[in-house]
Amino acid sequence: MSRAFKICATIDRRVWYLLIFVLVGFLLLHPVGFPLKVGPEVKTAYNVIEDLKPGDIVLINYDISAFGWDEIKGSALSMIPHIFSKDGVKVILFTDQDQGYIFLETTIAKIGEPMAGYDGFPWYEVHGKKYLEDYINIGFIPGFDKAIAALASDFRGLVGSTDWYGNNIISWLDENGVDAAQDIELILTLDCAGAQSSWVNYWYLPYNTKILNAMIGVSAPGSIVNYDAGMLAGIVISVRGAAEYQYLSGYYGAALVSMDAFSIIQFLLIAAIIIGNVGYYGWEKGREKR
Amino acid sequence: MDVVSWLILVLSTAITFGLFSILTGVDNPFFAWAENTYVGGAVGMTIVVSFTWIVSNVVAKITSNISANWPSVVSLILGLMMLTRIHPKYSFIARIPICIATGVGIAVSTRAIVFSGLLYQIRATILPIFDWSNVVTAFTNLMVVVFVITVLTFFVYTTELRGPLKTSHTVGRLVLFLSFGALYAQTYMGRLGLFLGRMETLLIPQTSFNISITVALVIVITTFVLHRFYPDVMKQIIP
Amino acid sequence: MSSFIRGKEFLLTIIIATSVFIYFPYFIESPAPIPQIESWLISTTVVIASFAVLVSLYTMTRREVMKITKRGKGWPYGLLMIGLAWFMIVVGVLLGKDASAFRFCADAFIIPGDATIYAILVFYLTSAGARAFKVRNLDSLLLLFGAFFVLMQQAPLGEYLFPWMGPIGSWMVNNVAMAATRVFGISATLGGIVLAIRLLVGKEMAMVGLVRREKD
Repeated sequence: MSRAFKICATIDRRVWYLLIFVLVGFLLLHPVGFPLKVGPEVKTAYNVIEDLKPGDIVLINYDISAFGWDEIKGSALSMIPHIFSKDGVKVILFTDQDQGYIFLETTIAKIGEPMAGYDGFPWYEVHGKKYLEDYINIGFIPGFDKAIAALASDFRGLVGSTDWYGNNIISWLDENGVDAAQDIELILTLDCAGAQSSWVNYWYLPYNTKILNAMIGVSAPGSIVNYDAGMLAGIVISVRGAAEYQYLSGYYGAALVSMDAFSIIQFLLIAAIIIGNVGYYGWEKGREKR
Repeated sequence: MDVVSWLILVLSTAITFGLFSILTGVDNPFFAWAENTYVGGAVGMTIVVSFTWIVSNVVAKITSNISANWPSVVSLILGLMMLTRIHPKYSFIARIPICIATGVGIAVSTRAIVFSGLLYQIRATILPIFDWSNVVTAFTNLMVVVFVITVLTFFVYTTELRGPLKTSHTVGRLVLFLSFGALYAQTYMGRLGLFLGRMETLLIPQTSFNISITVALVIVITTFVLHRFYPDVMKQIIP
Repeated sequence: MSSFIRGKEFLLTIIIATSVFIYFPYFIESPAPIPQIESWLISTTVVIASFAVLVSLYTMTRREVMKITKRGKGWPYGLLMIGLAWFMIVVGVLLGKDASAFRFCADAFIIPGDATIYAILVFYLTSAGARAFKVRNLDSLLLLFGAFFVLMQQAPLGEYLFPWMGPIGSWMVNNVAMAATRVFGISATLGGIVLAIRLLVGKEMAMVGLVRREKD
């Protein structure tokens, strides 16, 4: 028996690593389909987008770098098509991360198709919304929180006259009445670096702009605090939130598929903790006493 | 699949498993290669994207109408002054743009966080705790108020902890441990989601799966053989 | 002239002046030039930050070139690092960020590398859970409870098998963890305000590179 306790206490960590690889690989390739419950926060976020009206301007912020893309792509690939599916809503795409434009283009390419007679970016049609008619991409502006603050204080001045690809956007901004921060109805910020606090500080506080926040798990505590304080209109937390949103919106994707592996690996962590404690009390503690 | 896409797939898989190879517990050349490649590429990318923004926004504004956009000229000069940081004799010049950036940064962050980080948070903590018509809500509100106050007292270092303050400090410590467990679980969820997304890219579709298995086996077997049978060679080729 | 520019008073004046132009229009309705100066200052800071990255490039290049020329340990990897960095810079500056060679390097090296660096943490968190979550006293027991209930709530299978754990886990996240994070946020805000005041009265000049040397 003490041999068993000793094994529990001295399991090589590489055993856990191998188990994680094997279980994740198996469950991603052969998902089981465990049931999923949708939480109230995700339902609230879904309803905020459902309530968008024709003529509303939505600013989508890609605060995304490669280190968070795999976690947040589920939210991006369900929330953004949901916004694009709303009739009459105009969209401005923006990123405050230097890699963000790559993932922006990846998303548009995945959810849209090339416009007739055009080739390559930015000429994509997404749910009937055409580039430079219904949406534009102002691209990357460096400075993180300073870029967000500068956008709020002088939107047209910072955006300039051209989009990320050099196309003139002055007439688009004039036609859609986008002059200043107050003209933006909703901001969807897809966060890897905690940009939601900047959007709250520079957009919600002065202008009461509604802010939806989809974020990686590490940024969740800060977002939950602001959501509880009423400063965020809705939150979608990490892969679990993305899976719930995909289920609600009907835009099924990888986040839903990965929920089986997600569950099993969290059970594996609990098992690792229990085995560690069994080993500690059965063998290690006795060794300490001796 | 064309050659370029195939090459991107192979190299991205190699760099992924190269970085994962640190999990074997053995320092190996694949990890060193992956690490240095990633760092070099990341620096190059950051520079190019920043430079592109400066040229397309600041320089373009100046060249289009210099008299109307003269503030952009001043911005560009201040940016160029940063480069004097390199030279030991003239590095003091860089302090001017650093002071501007510091002053702006401090002011921009503090002017808003007084509201969002302090006043709104305090307001959100002032909850109705005496209306017990809805027992669950009232209990939750009471607990939130108690948790916030006790955790705040945990961070009081300037006075001796006696009586009610000591009790509050102890309760605050226990609440903190409970919350650290919850925060650990949330962090785990985040990192797991990232790992699952990465694995999904590596395993689906079939081509990616085949390349991933091949690359992983090559790295693991080579590392094992080098570590076990040629440790001297391994020592020479790792940094 | 240079001694005047190096002086603490001149640098402090710059900091205070820029701060005033940022604070003033935020709190008080200001006449025309002041909000424009505010916007200009914020965009200038963005330009300054972009140029600061070039300084880091110089530092990295100099360090690695010295290692390569002296054939220090691991010099081939240093050559690889700066070789790739400069290749991407030359291609990106001359041909643009959308050039195929630039995008090739981004897709092959940077994006997967960035994603993997943080994904590795899940392994370390799992082995840390096995080794460090030992219940020795009340504190560690509470740590374990907090992690356990939230893990079961997060896992869809956990919520399905033990439905009563879901509300407990949600309650812990939305109230216990939220309360603690709120306190961290309030503390950080107070610390930020104190730092800003210390900077504006000249007590934190180390932030701008002015370090007082102790006389022996």
